[in-house]
Amino acid sequence: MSNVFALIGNFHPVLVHLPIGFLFLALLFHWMSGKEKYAGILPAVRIAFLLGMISAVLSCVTGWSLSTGGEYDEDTLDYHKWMGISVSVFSLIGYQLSNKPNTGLKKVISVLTFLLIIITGHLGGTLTHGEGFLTKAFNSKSDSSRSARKNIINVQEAQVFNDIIQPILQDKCGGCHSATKQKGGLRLDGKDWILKGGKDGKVFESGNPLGSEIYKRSTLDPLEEKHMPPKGKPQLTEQEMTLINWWISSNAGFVKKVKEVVQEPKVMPALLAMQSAVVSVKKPAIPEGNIAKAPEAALDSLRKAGVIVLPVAANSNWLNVNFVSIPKISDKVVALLAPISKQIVWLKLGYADLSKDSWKLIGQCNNLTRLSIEHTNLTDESIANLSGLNNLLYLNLVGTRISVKGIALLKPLSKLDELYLGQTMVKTNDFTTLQKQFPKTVIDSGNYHLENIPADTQLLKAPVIKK
Amino acid sequence: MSKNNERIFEEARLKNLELATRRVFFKDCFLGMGSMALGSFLSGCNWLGSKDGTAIFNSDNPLLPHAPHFPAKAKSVIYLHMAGAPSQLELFDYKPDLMKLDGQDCPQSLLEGKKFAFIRGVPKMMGPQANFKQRGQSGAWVSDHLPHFATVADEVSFLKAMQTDQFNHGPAQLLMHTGTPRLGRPSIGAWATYGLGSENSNLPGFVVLTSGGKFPDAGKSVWGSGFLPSVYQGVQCRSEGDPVLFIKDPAGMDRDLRKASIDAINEANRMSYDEFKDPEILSRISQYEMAYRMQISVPDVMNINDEPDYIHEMYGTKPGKACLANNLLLARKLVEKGVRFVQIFDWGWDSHGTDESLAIDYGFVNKCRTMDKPVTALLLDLKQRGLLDETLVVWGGEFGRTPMQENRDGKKMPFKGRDHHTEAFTIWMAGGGIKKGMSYGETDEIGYSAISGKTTAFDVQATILNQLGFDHEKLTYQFQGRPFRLTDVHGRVINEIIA
Ligand code: HEC
Repeated sequence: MSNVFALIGNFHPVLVHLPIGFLFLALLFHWMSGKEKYAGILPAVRIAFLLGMISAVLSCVTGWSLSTGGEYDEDTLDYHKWMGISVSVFSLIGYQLSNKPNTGLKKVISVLTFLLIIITGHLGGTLTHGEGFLTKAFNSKSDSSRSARKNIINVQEAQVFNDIIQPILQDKCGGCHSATKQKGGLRLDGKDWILKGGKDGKVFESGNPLGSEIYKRSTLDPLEEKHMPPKGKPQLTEQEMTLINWWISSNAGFVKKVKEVVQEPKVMPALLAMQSAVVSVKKPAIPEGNIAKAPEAALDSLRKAGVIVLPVAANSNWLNVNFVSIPKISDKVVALLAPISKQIVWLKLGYADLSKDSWKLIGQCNNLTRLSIEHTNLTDESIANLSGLNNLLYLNLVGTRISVKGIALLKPLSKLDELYLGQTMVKTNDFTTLQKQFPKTVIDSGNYHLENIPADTQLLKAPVIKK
Repeated sequence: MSKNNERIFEEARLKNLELATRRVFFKDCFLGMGSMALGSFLSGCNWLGSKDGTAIFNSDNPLLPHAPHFPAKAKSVIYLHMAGAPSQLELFDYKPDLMKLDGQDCPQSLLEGKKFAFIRGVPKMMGPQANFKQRGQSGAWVSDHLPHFATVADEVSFLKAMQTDQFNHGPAQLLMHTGTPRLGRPSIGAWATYGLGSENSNLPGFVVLTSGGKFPDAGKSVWGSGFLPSVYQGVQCRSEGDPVLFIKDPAGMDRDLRKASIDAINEANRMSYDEFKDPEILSRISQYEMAYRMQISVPDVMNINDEPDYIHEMYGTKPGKACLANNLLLARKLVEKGVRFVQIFDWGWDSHGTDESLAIDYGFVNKCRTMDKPVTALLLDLKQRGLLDETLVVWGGEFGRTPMQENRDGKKMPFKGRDHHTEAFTIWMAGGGIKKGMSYGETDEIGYSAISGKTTAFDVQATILNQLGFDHEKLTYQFQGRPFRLTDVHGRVINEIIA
């Protein structure tokens, strides 16, 4: 008997759509019938309410059966349940009133029913798809928080559980085993939950991957019901399985760092991939949001002067400005940037010989994220103008006469990812100091050389073979 | 009106008068009716550009720079094609298990239902003919054939499970570059220039450089413009002699005279534009002007002699020769000046073992030696200029090579070689928003076929376009009544290697 009861629970997701449809139709017909032209559909309102009521009651019953599986967030479930029951009650009232004359009460009831259906539906959606499912697509923040992988600069220093395993579990299992949902009574979003296990007991046994359900289930035949994640959901990759296996078999537990754990050759590539996968800097960087369109006249005069001015993308007002076509860049042309100083995000102005005023103007383009001013006459004094460009991610100073003294003035550029300092007055042994001043910036010292080795110029010759 | 111009205007006047003759009238009616009829057959075609309006062919200035669909991670591409297809098994795809099978007959299971270009009967397996080590922090496998490149292995992302369905050079090269093994489609550089225009108005947007003594087997179509307007085809430049053929003024014609004649021609063209309002005339005028500007700027960027000695040393250039090292240095210069797409072909990687230069243990090693230092220098040189970040470098061949030793016509060959192989090969990408130190895709334990993370030419093309800021499904051109795109109905951006 209890099996049958559990079975009907599975029909809830199908049935719930019926009352939504019937009752919306009933309300629509009801509202339309107020107009004389549509008065003829009044009898249909009653039928639609009746059907809506029946299917609402059925949905309540199946829903109740499903809820006893206990895999849902309790608070949300409670609200959903009571809202669902009210929908049934209201549809009954609606049915009763449908052959009565129109009154104020009828209006209130119809609006309330409408709202209740929407709220109940949304709560149901939240139960199955997780919190914030509606807005996920619009909300890039929630998207990135979904993938919890964080930047690992040096994988050996990372924590095995917190930095490597937990993010995998959150990505691939979190949808069903976390605060919002506990399928199989199991949560995997933290040490304590993992140790607690699920409805069938322990899921983790240190040192024994195949004895740990958490790993064993992912090794099962994908078609098998117990295989995790279930068929059709994003699966663990081979690398992730290798890592989880290693985490359990090596007794790494929940606090050890990677370097404190034995690493067989097999996990090395997987570990290194974790590291390289994250040295990624988010690029191409353009500021969040949009900005007012740049004045067309300013763009025209720049274009006439030979400057390339383009939106960074179709439908964007942020501008990419490039002086590469101009053999000799004059201050007069640079001055044309003034009216678009807020719109420029990428600027290429290499090999220019500029006045103080021009540098000042460039310093006012404070939405700049990429600035290439290689081989310009920038000095340790004029660089002070750039210290307000706090959105800069990329700065190319190759071939300028900048020294450590000037670079120090860039301290406020907290977002700076890449700084190119080849062929400047920065001395080889200054770079260690600079790196300390800018711990988060990749500083390129340039000056690369390739050693000459005999193989570069010698060619192999086969010994003469006798035919 | 100067005296020099009088003859031109006189000719223009005569041509103009001809328009009113009976003969020309009949000819025009004849052709005119025909083309009107044709026009009605083809009606509904939107000839100029895609409907989404992002990349529209502007006949007035076809190389006008455009914004891509979304902000680009790469502003330029340098595509290094090792024509002939280098062996992945001697460079990047390390297969110790293949060594154990060295000299044994190839198992039937690998031969059944398979077609090879030259292998017949039962070939022998051949172990890796190189020593491998893991390099850098990423632990990427790179063989001793590339000692310099090994030092920068952390800069690149390898695609180790590339596959193709073409086992002959020509079609396979066309597939890599134009998205089809048959002739007639635009190359990827042409698509990029069509979409983006040329950043530097004094230079072409798409430049091709070749070395190795031969053109790629597929001929110039691998950098052709297909059905796109011909302004988008690759401009082939040479690192030996004149960089672009016929760009120099003929003897006795100085620069001022050239300018005067171009001005005169343009004025005549403008007069006929005023009369007929045909936009093609404006296009012609702007092309004359661009050609004139390029006469100055092209020889200038193409001259590598003004580069400092240490740069020459780094690349290992050979002044005055057409060689890969010179071309790579040129590529860097071009990208620095705003050229969008530089396509490099180096011929001589077809290591069948038919002679010494194509032997996997001689000629191939020598090819590696001429490629190793310059390619490494290119990556480092771009990096030290802050350009690697915005330049996508792609390296690869058109297919892979067999784990079996080639036995052409079922006979033993004078040298060790490998046949063409479609089921697995390695390419790499670097810079331009690609992850560093990544390896994606795997082959089986003998390197015969890709088993996971498979990628194709279409995926590579989609990824290149993506880095340039294009959705490869939306960069289209209306032709023969339907929108065409580089990747046709295929292609997936390889997000796994994108930073
Ligand atoms: C789409 C939802 C979903 C995802 C994603 C998912 N699971 Fe499950 N999981 C379930 C369901 C449903 C059950 C209960 C069915 C059962 O016991 O077989 C379950 C049960 C389990 C159990 C058994 C708990 C117990 O004690 O009965 C383990 C262990 C488990 N999952 C591990 C994982 C791991 C590890 C992942 C991620 C790699 C994962 N699951 C991802 C839906 C999911």
